[in-house]
Amino acid sequence: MEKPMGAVREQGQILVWVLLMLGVMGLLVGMIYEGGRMFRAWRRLRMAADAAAFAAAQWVDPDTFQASGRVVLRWPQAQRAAQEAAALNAPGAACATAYVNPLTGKVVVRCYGRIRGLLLLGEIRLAARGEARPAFGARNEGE
Amino acid sequence: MGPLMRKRLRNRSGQALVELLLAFPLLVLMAAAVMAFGRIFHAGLQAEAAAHGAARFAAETLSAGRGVWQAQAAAQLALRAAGLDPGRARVWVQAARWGRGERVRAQVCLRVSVSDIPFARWIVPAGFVDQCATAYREIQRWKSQWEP
Repeated sequence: MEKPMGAVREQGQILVWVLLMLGVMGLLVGMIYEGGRMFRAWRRLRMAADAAAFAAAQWVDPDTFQASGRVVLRWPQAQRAAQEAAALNAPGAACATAYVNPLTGKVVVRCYGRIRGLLLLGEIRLAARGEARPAFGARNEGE
Repeated sequence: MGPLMRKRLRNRSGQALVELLLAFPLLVLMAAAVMAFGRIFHAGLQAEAAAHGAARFAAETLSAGRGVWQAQAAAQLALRAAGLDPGRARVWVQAARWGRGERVRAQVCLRVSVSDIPFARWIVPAGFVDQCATAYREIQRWKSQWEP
């Protein structure tokens, strides 16, 4: 019997669909994996920023505080401590200048990291902010 | 090829069943992989959170014994809050010297079992994966040795 006019060959259609769907599923799995990797890297950076803020908050200048009641950081030491803490907790992370937020009185550090995307995303820059209460009290026992 | 054979080959009833049988193992394997990956990923995140919590609490005291105890308690609390079994976790807390400004290191390793997920052993032959995380903190510089 001859094919009626307008009839389309259906052989191989399923194969095309299966290949297409496999591609879509592969892309979805890749995106989920990529998203998870980025979320994990960002969370690690956020914890590193917290540790950096905690480290910087140990470097309050006690003399300025005693004289004026103002919370001022000993800058080079605070900065160095923040950088070290961030780099230890999230390798490759770098932090901007630590400062005291005048509204909250907390020490704030903003840290940055990079992650290389596996798909077509290239390199992505991550940022996280850490906060800690300034620490001061006894420098020596009995104080 | 005879006309009868040709007709049988063109008969498409049952084609869907054959396709389903071919696709089903792949789908099951993918589902198992997603479940196993999700569990391992969750455990990895929680191990990191537990390590950071442990380091944070260890840094709050000048007493080594108390620091280790606080760190272990914090890690176990974090894992329990995340719905994980702290009994499967190992926590190490150490510092070169326990004193003001010294660095304390906390490591949490969590054994994640995937053996109860069907076909997961095809992906993870051992049936478990260890997820470890490390965190560092400086011990408080302004802390008194006095403890309540």
